[in-house]
Order: sequence, then C-alpha cells, then structure tokens
Amino acid sequence: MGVFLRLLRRYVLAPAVALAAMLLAWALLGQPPLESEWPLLLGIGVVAYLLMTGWFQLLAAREEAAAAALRAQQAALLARDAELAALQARLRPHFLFNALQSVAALIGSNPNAGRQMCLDLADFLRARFESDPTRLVTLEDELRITHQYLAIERVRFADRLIWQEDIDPKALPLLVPPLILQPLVENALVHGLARLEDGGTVHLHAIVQADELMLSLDNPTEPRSRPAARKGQGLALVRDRLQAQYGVAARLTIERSSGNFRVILRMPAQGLP
Amino acid sequence: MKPPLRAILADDEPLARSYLRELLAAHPDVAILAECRNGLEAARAIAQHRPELAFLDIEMPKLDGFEVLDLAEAPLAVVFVTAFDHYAVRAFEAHAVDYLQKPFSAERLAAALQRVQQRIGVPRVLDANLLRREAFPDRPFAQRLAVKNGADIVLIEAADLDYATSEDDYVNLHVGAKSWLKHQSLASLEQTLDPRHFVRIHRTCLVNVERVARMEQETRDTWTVVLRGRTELRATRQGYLRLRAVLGV
Repeated sequence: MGVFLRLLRRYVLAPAVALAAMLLAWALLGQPPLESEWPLLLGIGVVAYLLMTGWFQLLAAREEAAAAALRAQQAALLARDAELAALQARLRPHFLFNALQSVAALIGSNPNAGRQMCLDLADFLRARFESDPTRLVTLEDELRITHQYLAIERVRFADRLIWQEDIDPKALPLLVPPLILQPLVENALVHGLARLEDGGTVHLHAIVQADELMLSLDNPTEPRSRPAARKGQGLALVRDRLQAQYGVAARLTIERSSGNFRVILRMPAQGLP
Repeated sequence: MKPPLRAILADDEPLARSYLRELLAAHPDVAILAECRNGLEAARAIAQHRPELAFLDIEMPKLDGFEVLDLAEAPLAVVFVTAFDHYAVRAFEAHAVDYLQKPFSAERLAAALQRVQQRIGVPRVLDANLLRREAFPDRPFAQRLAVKNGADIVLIEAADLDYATSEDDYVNLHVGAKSWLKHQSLASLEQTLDPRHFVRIHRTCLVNVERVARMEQETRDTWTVVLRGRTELRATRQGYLRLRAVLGV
C-alpha cells in the first residue's frame, strides 16, 4: 500500500500537478504562447514537479517515522503488558495457601488474630488486583503494598522475621513500576529466611543519589548455600520489568556473600509531573 | 484397646504445628511424641523415639521432608504436609504416599489417619530420593547429603565429596580424611548426584570428577584413577571411558 501510494504520487500526482501548473500559466498568458515563452512554461512545470516530489518525499518520511514510532510503541506496550500480566499472575499460590492455613489455625486458637489476618489478606489482594500494571506508582504506595504483604507473612514467620527499612524521605514521592518491591521481599523470605531456623532481618534501603533512585534489599541466607536451581524467577521478572520501563537507564544487580544476599535496583529518579 | 499410634510432627511454622496438634487432639488413637521445628530435629526425633508415623512438612530449614524420610531407618508411615506443590502431589499420588494439602480439614486428616492405620505393619519400600526428584523436577540433583553418625546427623555438601564406595548395604562417603557410612545403594546415590560431577568408574566406586588428577592403564581392561589427594581407585574400561567422556579428554 505504502509503495503504491509513493509510486502514484511520484509518477501520477506530481506530473499531473506540474502539467496543471503549466496549463494554468498558459491560460494566464491569455493567448497561444510565443516561442520565447516556452522555456518559462517548461520551467514552471519542472519547478512544480520538483516541489511536489520534494513535498511528497517529506510527507513519506514523516509517515514512515510515525509508523515506526507507533510500531515501537506498540511492541513495547505489548511486551510490557505481557510481562506485567505475567508478574501479576505470579501471585504464588504457595503464599495464598499458606496464608489460608494460618487463618484456619488462628480461628481455633486466636479468632481475633484470624479475623485480622483475613482483613490483611483482603487488603493485600485488593491492592494487587486493583493496581494498574502500566502505571507507575510512588515508592510510598509500593511500600504500602509491601507492608501489607509483610503483615501476612509475619503471622507465619512469627519472630523469625524482622523487617528494617531506611528510606530517604526524598525517595517516597518518586515513581517506580508497581509491584517492583514486593516480589523482592517475597524472594528474600522464601529463599532466605524460610531456610534459616532462627530467621533473621530483611533490610530495605532507599537512597536518592544524583538523578538515580537506588533500592537495595538484604537478607541472610544459609552460610554455605549455593544458588538454588530455581533461584529468583521473581528476580528475572523484576529485571525484565525494569528494562521494559527504563531500558538501559535502570539495572538490577545481585551481590552474594557468605550468609548474605543483596539485590540492588537502580532507576531514574522521576517524580510526579 | 490398641495402644495409640506413636507419631511426631515437623513443621517450621508454629501455627501449622498448633493447627495439626489441635486437630489431632480429636484422635486419641494418635500420641504425639515430639513436635519439631526443622528437618534436623525431626530426623533426631525419629532416631530417638522410633515413631510409627511422621507428619512432615516438605520445605523446612536444615533438612527437607524427603531428606528426613531418607534418614529414617526403621519402618515409618509418613504423611507429607504441603501448601502447594503440583509436582509433589503428583509424585505422592503416583507412589501412594499419604499427604495433606494446607489448609486441610479435620475430615481430610481423619481419612489420612485411617489409611495410615490400614497400612501399619504392611512393609513397603519408599525411595525418598526418587520421590524428591519427582517432587522437585527443577532441581533434580542433591546439593548435600545427610548422613547418620550415631545419634547425630552430618550434612555433607555434594561438592565436598571426593568419592564413594559401596560396602554391602552401605555407601562409604569419603570427604578428605574422613569417611561416613550411609545406608543406601551406590546406584541410588549415583542417581541422586549430578552426573556432570560424579561418575561411576567401577561397580563399587563413584568419583567426583573435580578430584581426578590422572589416569593410568594397568591391564588391558583396568585403569587406576589417581585423585589429587593421592588416593588410587580402580576403574573398569567402561568406567574409564565414562570418566573421559565427562572430563572431555
């Protein structure tokens, strides 16, 4: 279609306009042209043709650029939506069933705590299902959903889970992709604390440095644990999401040392417009 | 009246333990001998109390449910308790192993207990290592081996194992200057370990390829494999060829 349109413009429309310009000039002269006036008419035709083709070329280039931009945008959106949908769907069934088990246990021994846990679970699920995967949220909102998640896991882990956070107040209003933090915390619990008899401390830092927001999360691990075969499917998803959102401007790095696992997210510090 | 069934339960979550205890209170035919917070405690409790029945959570610190089962030497009925594990449940079904999926009802627990009662005294062999491979197909090889040492349990990192030899019904695991006996066949151990790191060089010997220093031909069909620590192991032609294939020489 595009090719046809281009040929039509170059070989039909442009010559037609040139011819029309020549005829118009002829008509304006009001009489059959003199021999000396022929070059003028021809010149008008040539100039009209060149102008038209030039204009058409400009038009074509613009259309091409717009189409490419649209394609890129659509591809990015599609990819992002797919990734986000995957991440949303990745609410680990393990987590849900364990939470329900805790509720069942609490109803017998501590009904009030059981009720509270139902409510916490509802809050967390609502926030998750309502979050629009394509819209950035403030770090403050992301922390809220993370805290809801922690409230549920705290019932299960009891005193094996200690949560610490050091958040630069400047970081709170900055924008992050939704559900970027919670999977990291989940990872720290499932692959870290859950394997330690006495649990430990999960520590979150949020720092704003120059134009960059840096989030880092530390969790203890088994001293000699080797990277497990099914390590961080969650981490890979978070990394892909950062990439989809910011390209090379963001990155996820992992630092492993004996007994400690650290994930660091760096992304551009963007506030609400 | 029959004496109550002697049972232990193991789960790292206090709430999960109290829930099971609460539901078991309705079953006077089950006596809880020990409640364990991790796999190591469970394995020790089994060695100490010799229970007939164990409720084992799968994912626990220190040792997982399968490793606990693997260490149990006396006949033991097991009910695995799991939150959600598609593959594990499939493996349990395939091997007629009892399990409870969290959260479970009092009725479901009663049904499991009934099946356990019917099976008590019926000898059956349950390969914990096979179960584990089927339950976790994404991590098919053991990263560590749990071995009984008297009343205690020793954990050996697979990478630390130099070689293993078979001795009757046991495998002898050699780690540096030490060695540990584990009640297992060499074939079963071989299946548990990553074949890219452990090669059967002889009917009675499995070697960690990282430890191999050199190989010397003795006769037409026998080789000597010399380890970095100067230990010399015998290899058959087949074993020698397997080792060469893995070493890529």
